[in-house]
Amino acid sequence: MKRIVIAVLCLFAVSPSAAVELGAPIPLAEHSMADVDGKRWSVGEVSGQKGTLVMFICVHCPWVQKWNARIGDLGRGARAAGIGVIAVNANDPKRVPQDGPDGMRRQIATNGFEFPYVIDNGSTLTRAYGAQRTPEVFLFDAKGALVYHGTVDDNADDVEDVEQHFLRDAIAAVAAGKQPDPRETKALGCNIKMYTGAD
Amino acid sequence: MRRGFIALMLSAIAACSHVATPDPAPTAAIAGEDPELRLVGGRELRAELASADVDVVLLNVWATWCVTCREEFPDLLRLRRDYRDRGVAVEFLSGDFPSHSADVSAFLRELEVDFPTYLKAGKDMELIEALHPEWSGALPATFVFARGGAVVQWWEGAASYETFAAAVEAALARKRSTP
Repeated sequence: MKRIVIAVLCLFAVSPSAAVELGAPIPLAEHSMADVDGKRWSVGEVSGQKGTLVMFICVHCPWVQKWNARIGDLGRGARAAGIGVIAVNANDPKRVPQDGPDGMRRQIATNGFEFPYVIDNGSTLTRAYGAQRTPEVFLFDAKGALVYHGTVDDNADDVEDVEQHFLRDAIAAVAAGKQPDPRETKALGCNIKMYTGAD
Repeated sequence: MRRGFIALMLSAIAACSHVATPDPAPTAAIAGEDPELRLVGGRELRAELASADVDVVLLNVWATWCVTCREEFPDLLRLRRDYRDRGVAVEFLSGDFPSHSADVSAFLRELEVDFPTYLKAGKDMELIEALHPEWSGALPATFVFARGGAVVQWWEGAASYETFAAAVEAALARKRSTP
């Protein structure tokens, strides 16, 4: 009975933490993280005049792999439109070795990532955003308020069958100084393997 | 003390309850897959689970590429065996892409699964909203339904046998306390 009681209490402990709410400011904008070459970046540093796009991704997740090329394209497009872009590897490579720096380098090269791709060592940023899965994206407007949270589009499996280009349209809206519609979307994805040790 | 604890838990799970509007529609089996894989969308699945003639349904959403999903799968099979005579059904929905159905079947055969399971069809958003609007979409995810289809508990992330059993016991206790 005691084990069952403890397990019931644990049910509430494993419920997901809430993500940053729409309208909220950029969390931990000055938090510094290293890329695969050791160069350090913060979200605040990459912010653009029109807005900021923060993407929680990783290497191994099949959903990310399906969207990788689109993430590269959207990142380049956002930067060209005056929106700063940063991708964050949210997974602890001790838990998923594929998510280490070598995998990140291949991912960058293969998909033409032309934006900083940093390692959230300690999961500090991931926890501050309340991100739960990869990929999961957060788009902030020129004033630094969250205006879009969710996924890339409505069909990870086949780009030819995408009906709703959520992130592409949200980027276009923010670049034009408008509110995205919809502002929140979801998709299946890999749960984030947080760092469990000290930061 | 025990009665008070159960009452507290029942209040908590009642607060978590969520009922989606069912939209009955047949599921389709993928030809040639053994064990049987039924392609299903979110609303169809809710309708099927709501019509199940059992007191509790535990649905686990998993995928072959999800390490923690694979790790907890044997505990769920054990749960299914342990509770099958107590009015509890344990169901599985794979979030793998339909083009990967052979991988799903291979994993199920490896674990000697000999009953039909589901494979996601349709849009992710529809599935997520149908199962629980607060679910982020991360896998694994587990949902516990009362007879009739109301969600009485759910969580995302991996769990132990004890956690699964506790959720089922809480749902059964809730059913017993309902006139």
